[in-house]
Amino acid sequence: MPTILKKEKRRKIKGQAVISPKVNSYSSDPYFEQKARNAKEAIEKFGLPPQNH
Amino acid sequence: MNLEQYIYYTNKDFLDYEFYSEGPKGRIKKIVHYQKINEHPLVYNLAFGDLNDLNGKIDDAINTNNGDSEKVLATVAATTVDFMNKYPNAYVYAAGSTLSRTRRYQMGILKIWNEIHHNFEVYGLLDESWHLFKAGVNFEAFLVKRK
Repeated sequence: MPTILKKEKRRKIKGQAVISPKVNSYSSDPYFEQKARNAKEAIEKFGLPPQNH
Repeated sequence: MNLEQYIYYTNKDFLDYEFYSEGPKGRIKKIVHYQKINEHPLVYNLAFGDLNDLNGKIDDAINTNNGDSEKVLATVAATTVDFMNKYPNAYVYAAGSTLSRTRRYQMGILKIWNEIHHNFEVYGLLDESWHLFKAGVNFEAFLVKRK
C-alpha cells in the first residue's frame, strides 16, 4: 500500500529560516523560563550599554 | 553567512527555531528560543538546548559531543540574524549556562565577526559593566543590537 506524505507548506524568508507551522512555542519550558529570569536579573543589575560608543 | 550551518525552521513569531544536529551521536533536535525580558528598551534573552524526546522538555545538562559544535553555533548565530530582521530595535542578551559555554558563545561571535560587525553592535559584560566586544577578553555575557 503506497504511503502519501503530506507536503509541509513552507516558504523561504529573507534570511535562512524556513517558516513552518510545526515549530512549537517553547516560552513555557522551565529551562528557558529560568534562563530568562537570570537574564532579566542581569539586565536589572547591570543595565544596558551607554549609547555614546 | 558563509559558515556551514544547518537548515532551521521558525514559526510566525520568529521567537522559536528548530534544527537537527547530525553526527556520530545521531540526529539531535536543537531548540533556540528568544524570550522578552524587558519592554523599554526591548530586550530578548537568547537560550538554546537539546530537546528531550522523552519528556518534550529542553535538556541543558547534555553535552551532545556530536562533532559539529561550530556548525551548531553558526546556526544559532544565523537565527539571531533572522530574529533581528523581524525585531530590528531589540537587544539580544546571551549568556551560557556555564563559563565554558559562555566561552563557546564568544568563540562563535569571533568566527562570524567579519560578517556581523558592520551591521551589529556587540557588547560584552565584564566587571559589572558593558564594553564593546573585542577578541582576547573573556566576557561573562553578551548583548547584540542592530546598528
